[in-house]
Amino acid sequence: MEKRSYRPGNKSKKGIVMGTVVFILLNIAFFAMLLFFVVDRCTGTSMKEKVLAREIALFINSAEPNTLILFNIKKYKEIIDKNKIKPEDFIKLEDGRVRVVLAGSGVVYPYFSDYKIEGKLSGDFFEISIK
Amino acid sequence: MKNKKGSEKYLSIWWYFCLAVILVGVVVAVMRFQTITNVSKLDADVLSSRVLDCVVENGTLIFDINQLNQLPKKDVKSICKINFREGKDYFVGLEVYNLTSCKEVPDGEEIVIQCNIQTKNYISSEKQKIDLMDRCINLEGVRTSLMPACSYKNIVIEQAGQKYILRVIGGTYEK
Repeated sequence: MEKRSYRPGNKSKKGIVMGTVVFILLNIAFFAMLLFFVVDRCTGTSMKEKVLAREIALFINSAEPNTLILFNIKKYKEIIDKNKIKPEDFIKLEDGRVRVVLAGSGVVYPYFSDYKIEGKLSGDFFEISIK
Repeated sequence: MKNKKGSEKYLSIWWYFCLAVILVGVVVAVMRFQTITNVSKLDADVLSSRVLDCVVENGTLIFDINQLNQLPKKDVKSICKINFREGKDYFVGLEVYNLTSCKEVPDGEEIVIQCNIQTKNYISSEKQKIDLMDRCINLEGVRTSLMPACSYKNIVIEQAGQKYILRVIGGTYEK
């Protein structure tokens, strides 16, 4: 069997340093991606869409007839503008479902209330009237 | 020196193993955290309250108790103005117990009140992903995953001079 010997001198100092630097950079990249994933999932637009759609559906479900609900949507305007979403497409009430679009195709959430429900944008508010 | 090479190799494997464990742990934690947007419990509560409000007027059930089990499903839905749409599973249960039949029964260290059921009517949405009726009726009190949620509302009602307990059950499941 061939005997092999390890000679540290074979590896240049530059090579060792480069290897260590690459190792550290890869680790930094891994943890940065992980952090980005966590922040995006927990505070990103997908989470905001989900929360808003559910909030609206819950309000509609628990509302009595002749109720007017006003949602302040000022804090979402920056995101809508950034993602080039038309204000009229941001929140839609269609066929018993709430559709909220902050990015991409958005989130759809059903409500069970069968009253006549209408929604429209009015300045910084989204007005929902239940009749 | 051969050993040193081996240890470097193992360190590398262990390092990737640690990264994989961290990755899986973080992804699972984030997924669990995202279930906070699940509002099934609140929705079930709203549903049961709404049905209770519309089927009881001045302490009396608007339907004849003896005909409750024959009541068409659409009647309750149209009177309460509810419509079970696709995208979520819903369940509504109406149970009437005879108040005079209630008695205290020891159950281990606790004493529970048992009443005879007089009549019932269950309404479920179509094409359910899980059997919400089974979850809300047979598995009542059993702690399962967060997802399916049931809400129970009890009220004493009177009809034809007799007292009953009306139990309204609301169940929702976010698909």
